[in-house]
Amino acid sequence: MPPADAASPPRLVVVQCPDWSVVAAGAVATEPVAVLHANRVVARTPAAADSGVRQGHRRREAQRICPELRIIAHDPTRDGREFEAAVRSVAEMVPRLETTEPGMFTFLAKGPARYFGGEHAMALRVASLVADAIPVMHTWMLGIGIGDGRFTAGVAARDSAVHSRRRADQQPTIVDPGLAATRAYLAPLSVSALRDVGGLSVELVDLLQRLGLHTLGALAALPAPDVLARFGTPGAFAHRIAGGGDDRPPGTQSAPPDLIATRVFDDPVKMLDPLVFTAKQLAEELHGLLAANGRVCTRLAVTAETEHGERSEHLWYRPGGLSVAAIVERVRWQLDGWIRKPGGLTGGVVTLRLVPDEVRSDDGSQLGFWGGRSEADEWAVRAVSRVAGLVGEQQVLVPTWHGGRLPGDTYRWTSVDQIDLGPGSGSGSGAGDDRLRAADVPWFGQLPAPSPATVLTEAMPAEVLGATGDVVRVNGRGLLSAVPDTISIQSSPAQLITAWAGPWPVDERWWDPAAHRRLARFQFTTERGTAYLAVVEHQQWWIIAVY
Amino acid sequence: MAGMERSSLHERRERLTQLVPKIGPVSFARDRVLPVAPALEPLLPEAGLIRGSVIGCQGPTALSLALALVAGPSAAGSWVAVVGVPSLGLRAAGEVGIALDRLVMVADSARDVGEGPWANVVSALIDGFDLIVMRTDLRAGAARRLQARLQTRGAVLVLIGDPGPFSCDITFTSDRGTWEGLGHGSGRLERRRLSVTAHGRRLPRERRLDVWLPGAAGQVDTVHDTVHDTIHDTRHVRLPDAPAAAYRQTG
Repeated sequence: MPPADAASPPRLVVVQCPDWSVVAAGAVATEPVAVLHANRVVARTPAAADSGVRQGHRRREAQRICPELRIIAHDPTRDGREFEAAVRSVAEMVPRLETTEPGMFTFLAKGPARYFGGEHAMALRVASLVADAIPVMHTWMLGIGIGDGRFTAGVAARDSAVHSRRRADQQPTIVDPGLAATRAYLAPLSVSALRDVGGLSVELVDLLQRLGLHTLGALAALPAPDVLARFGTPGAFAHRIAGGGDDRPPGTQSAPPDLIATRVFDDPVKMLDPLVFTAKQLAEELHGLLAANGRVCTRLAVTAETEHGERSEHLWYRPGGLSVAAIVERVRWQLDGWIRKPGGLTGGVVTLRLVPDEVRSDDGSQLGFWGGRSEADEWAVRAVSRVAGLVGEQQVLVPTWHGGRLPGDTYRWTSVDQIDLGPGSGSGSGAGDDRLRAADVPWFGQLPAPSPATVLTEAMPAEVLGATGDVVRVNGRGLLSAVPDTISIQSSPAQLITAWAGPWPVDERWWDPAAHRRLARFQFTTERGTAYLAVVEHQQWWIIAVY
Repeated sequence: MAGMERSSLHERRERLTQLVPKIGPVSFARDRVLPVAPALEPLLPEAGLIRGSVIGCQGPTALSLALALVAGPSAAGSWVAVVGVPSLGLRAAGEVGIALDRLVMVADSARDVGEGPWANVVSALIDGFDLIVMRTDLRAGAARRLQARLQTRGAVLVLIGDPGPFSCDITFTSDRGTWEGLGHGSGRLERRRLSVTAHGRRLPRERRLDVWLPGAAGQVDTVHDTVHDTIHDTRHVRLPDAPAAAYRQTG
């Protein structure tokens, strides 16, 4: 039995639309459409899903499976803006609705369930409210889960999304209240739910699976102190939520009431950009105040009011904490959708207020600040997909490690359609990114640094002559027939060699007659001050790189 | 009299400094600077690359210099886009300090899309990248638009060779330099001493500096003329085996 002192988690409703991006783009369910981000499918219409397109597919893969697939670029601003209408319509019926991300919101089940006549009836009502607010949305495209705690409800919502789609009818998944029922519901599920819904790291989930802990029940059955000792704090957290325990991150508390960032405009503002700019200042102010106490905001209320009393108030939740950039992004989503709502606003905005609702101690797990690393990565990845769209993917290249003794072999340029440039790979910490990882290992027989700045894409034929005017030859034992004296590149006038070194022989792939290469490398500097890397192969001199 | 004037000037300056934070938010150009390698700092007016500026690199070693300039910001987290330099030595780029996982190249053949779309490509790069290294062939109108975009986005454009219609804030010129380490049948290229000059509208007078580029490990280093200047670790650098010993290397 559970310890009596454990406060039972609140009963929550999680509503999510797994393919929200494609709904936000206005694609109807019967047309095969996919939304791509960084060359990967992030959302697809039911029609595309029926022909086998999955989230995570690459563009080529998706187009092969479904040739008539229409592709739309990912636009987070569009996702956020369009979702505002759904949130607004449900928030009229439901208090304290909090948005986690575009396509997903959460609220307390108790009050609304009583009002609508039971949890099942409430779920159906909420689904139809969302479907009415969004033109191309059907109720069966939503997953609605009700359960004790955010994790349980989230898992249930995911479950419900699958069932609803299969039956083309909204099928809310309702987990009975109480710890015993929650445990029974979670126990047979895969530990991958900890990663997908619980936000735990891929590494931890992989480790659990390798150790043979495949279900949440198996993890929950272990003694808590042992899990803490073996897997640390994240492991203890995983253990707790797997057993249906409190899923709020440790150190969560209500925000101190005096912590408010407000701006009152003397002249009502009707444009979005100045409001977002002000929001950035407010967010920085707030972030500074919180950071001074080592805390970070996980739930934030954003309120805007016009001179005629129209109000937009949303709660935003982010388990890892809201960085300045995240706050600004959310304010933009909220206000953009609000300003553009049918009928529009009658007046300009006079008040903008950010109120932290829940804070927790900062464990450093949040992303970088404004202009921070993650931000730069995100911008660059977006620019890459835009440029690839303009000039073709074959023309946009990134370095990949290849390995070899010649300067042109170490790294090769690879077109971006074969590479994942997702966020995280930029810092080299992404799990799926190993295109440059092998570079840390030294390659036997490589010339040491410095390496040539220019590696010719096509080697230039050259003639290296000795003092007597004969071509310098290199024999099989690496001995020279004469001391190099002049060099003539591509039949240009001969230049005096001022210094030289070599030969450094390369004898590659001698076991493969087709790929066998045997050559000797030399470095030369000429009277004009240029340094070259030359090779001699079959008694022919080539310039392959310029230092 | 003169003394009085000086003190009042001093007072006025004091008062101004006190006022500055009160008038804010003012963002001085120097607040928006991308850091460069310490060895290159003396060449730059704010000891870094000012966001929104256009930098020209000329002379026979322009590419090396351009790579050295963008290496500092790249190591600090910025992304670098290179346009149409297929012969860029990636190992050298890595050695000088560029983070290769934040480097993207647009092939030269992409220019075939035509002048108008090509300007859009460069403009998209400016939107997403902090640094763009390219040779230019754009017309004056497109160049003006791109330069304005650079300033709003805060990116830095590094032009190799003739800047064409772009007006450079700073132009660097480097000579061929002198190599050290290579003998007659012995040694290897160890480092190159480059003489770099910088001039432009942000610099009141021309600045000149000698740097090691590439230095002993491929990075850019300050030249310490006053100190007895030797490379300490040459003896520990491992050369590929001598011909007789390594007649057959397996690969």
